[in-house]
Amino acid sequence: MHGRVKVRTSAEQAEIKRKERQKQAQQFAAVKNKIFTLRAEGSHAPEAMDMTARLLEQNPDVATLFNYRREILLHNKKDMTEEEYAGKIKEELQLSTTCLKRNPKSYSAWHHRRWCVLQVGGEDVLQQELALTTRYLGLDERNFHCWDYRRFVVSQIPPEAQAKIDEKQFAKVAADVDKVVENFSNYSAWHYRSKLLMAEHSVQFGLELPAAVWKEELALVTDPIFIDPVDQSSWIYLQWLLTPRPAPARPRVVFLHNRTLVIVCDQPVKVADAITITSGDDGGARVCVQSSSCVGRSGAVWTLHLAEHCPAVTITAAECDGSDGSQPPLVTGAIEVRQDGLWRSAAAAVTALPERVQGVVDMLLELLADLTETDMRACLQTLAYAYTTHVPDAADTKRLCLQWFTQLQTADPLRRGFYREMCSRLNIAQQLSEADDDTTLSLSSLHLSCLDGIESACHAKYVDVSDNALTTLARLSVLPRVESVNASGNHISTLDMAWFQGLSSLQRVDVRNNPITSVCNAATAAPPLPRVEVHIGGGAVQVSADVVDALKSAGWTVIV
Amino acid sequence: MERKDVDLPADAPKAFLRQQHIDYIEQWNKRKGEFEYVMSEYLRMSGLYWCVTALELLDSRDKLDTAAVLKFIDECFDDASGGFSASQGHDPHLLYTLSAVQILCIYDAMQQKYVDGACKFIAALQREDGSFQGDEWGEVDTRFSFCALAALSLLGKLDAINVDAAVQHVLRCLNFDGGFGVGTESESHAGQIYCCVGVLTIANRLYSIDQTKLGLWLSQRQLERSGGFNGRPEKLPDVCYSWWVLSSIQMLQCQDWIDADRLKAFILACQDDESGGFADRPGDMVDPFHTLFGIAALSMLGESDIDRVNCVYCMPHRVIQRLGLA
Ligand SMILES: [Zn+2]
Repeated sequence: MHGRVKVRTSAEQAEIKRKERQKQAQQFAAVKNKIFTLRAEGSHAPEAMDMTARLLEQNPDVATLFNYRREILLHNKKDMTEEEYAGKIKEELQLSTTCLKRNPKSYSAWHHRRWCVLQVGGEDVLQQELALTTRYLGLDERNFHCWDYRRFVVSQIPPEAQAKIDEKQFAKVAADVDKVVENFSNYSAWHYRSKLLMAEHSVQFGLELPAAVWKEELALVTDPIFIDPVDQSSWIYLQWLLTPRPAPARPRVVFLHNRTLVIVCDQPVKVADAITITSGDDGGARVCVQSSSCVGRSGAVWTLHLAEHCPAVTITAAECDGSDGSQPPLVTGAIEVRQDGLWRSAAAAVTALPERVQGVVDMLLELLADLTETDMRACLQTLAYAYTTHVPDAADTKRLCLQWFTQLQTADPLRRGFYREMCSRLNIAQQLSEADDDTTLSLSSLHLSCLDGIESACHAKYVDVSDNALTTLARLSVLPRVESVNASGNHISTLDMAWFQGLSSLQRVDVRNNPITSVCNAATAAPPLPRVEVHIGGGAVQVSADVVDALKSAGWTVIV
Repeated sequence: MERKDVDLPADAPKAFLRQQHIDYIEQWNKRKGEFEYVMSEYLRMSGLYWCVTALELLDSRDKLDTAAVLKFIDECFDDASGGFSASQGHDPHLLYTLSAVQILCIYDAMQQKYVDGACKFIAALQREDGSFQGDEWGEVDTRFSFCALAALSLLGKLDAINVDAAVQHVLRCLNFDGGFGVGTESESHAGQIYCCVGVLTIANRLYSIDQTKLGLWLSQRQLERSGGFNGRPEKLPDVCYSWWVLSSIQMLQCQDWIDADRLKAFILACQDDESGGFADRPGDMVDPFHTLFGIAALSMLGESDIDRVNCVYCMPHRVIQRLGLA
């Protein structure tokens, strides 16, 4: 039940109303029972049509009643002329209209319309239906059922008629959209616009649009942004205009230690099973990349556990054509890595924004100067989006976005966690780009809430992530050679032994000054972890006997 | 500031009214002659699932006659097609087949004929392009993709359908904002996003989408004034979106991208302290649908008086563990 305000009435009034409605319900149930009996008897009589119509007008969501009507219509069709049948279908459309007046979001009433249109079609019906959607969108410009139905009606206009109605009909559709777009907070219209443009130009991403079209779209979205810089709809559309077709994913770093293989790509790998890993000269063991080996939420970082120890592995990617556009293939030659050998791609990072994007960035920077802190949120976010999407590795990106996301933490407190994570990623990237020692990862006191990005140093032996705001160390799985982890002074409350699984060289874990109250997966973490020295407690932290016992049961040496 | 939002009334409930919700659901199922009950017969199986799950999460199974519920489910089982209907005399449908399977799993009362039936019914509804229609009448919706994958995974029978094709269809419904809609051309909507993220989670294919973009869009559903979630930009907040958005956020593992305390305050304010139950917004009429999703969302937020809910299936987590799915 949506948007029905509770009305306060006296007990007496409420009782009268209740009785009245109960009687109405009894009548409804009685007619429904009659209908179900008729149907069970196989009746296709007109009285069934009358009764179902009566009930649907009261309650359009009873899908089975529509089903029965369609059965009757299809059954009786053979005794009718085409014209008579078309007349019957028009009555159905009329009934659906009545139903939609009662509930404009009735799935079954909208579906019945589609069925009717598929039964008869014809230009006049399609015209009429388009007019109906225009009317309904005038009443509620966000009714997604109606938008979907409109797209369906447009799709029904046959190709040979498209040319004829193109001017008259299709242009009208577009004009309607333009008109709705003027009401710039209409997210549904922006969505429809993106779909129309994608279809018209056979593209998927805003920046793929032909330059002239792109310019027009930019002009269209600029006004609402300047007039109302808080409106989410236009900003999300602008971000789409700044979105390029992603380049094919390419490996950036590959590292093999014991039985663990880490593959870091520069883009999400959307077709994991396109990667093949072979070991030995005979091209022996093949390992399939599985979704469960994906680390974090980027889709670009994979940790694989090989079935056996091998001196070297070769990684190749199947040739995918990526023809459906949504799934960029992993393009690479064969990459060979030996034990503890690090492979890094030689490709240089792109550092300049594409011209069109630069133009938008300049415009937004100008706009920014006139905005208050609360009003600048979407603008800052869009600027950061432009940089992180196009030049993720540029020094400018790290510097500027870090500043913007820090600002957003106070300007948009509800989503502070998101901005913290973005800052963490940028801080880690910056530290790694400046680091000179290969085997030591120093990330202490950087306000980190996540460890996304440490995989760039996946060959590290010593990790210091002390004095941050971490609640999990799950990301350590990308450091198969790690020997020592200092995670003291973080916010870890549950120590999950699964975090350390597969870290076959681990010797020392320092988790002092974390509010650890429990340990999980101590028994199930397989294969058994080697003897690790774990340091807990410290300062004001009380260490419970349960925590110590659980760690000991995993074979660890506990030092409190 | 978002213009479409509400303010929480100063006197709105601030604590979880556990017992009142148990009473409300118990009463609801006894009002068989009442208008609202009769008028919702067409979705009774789902209505039962909402009540059963809410009571389970409140550790109060005894407030419903479980034998009667199981008898009702059996009466709604259609031998010929293998599907379940919402109620006797209604036609079988994917929506109610999932609800029936969910209840049967919760009560640990699965029977071989149901397993075989549901598999046959669901497999027959998968279309060439991987999508699912809800019944023989051809309505296609990403909700139905979720119903199919959720039900079959609960039955341990995902191999009855082409999972890869189902995933491909869902990925074709991806929009410019990172979200999903009803179909390939439809606008992003938090309820549909829950369904699509659920499909990708069950199929182990979450890595195929831009989780950061979608996670941000979902976190932007939280509104400044009320702290509640809406389902699309520039719409009003609603308790059921607390569930659709928060469960999706949990599947994407970005729970700390929203303000949990503000959300909790909004959900608690949607309780009716006279009748029990939850409404979509403070001061509106309550119903079992919003009651379940209010309770389930509070469970995800760590409310101590509620059993842990599973974010993919909206069922008690212990049931999902028993089935070996978590
Ligand atoms: Zn709702």
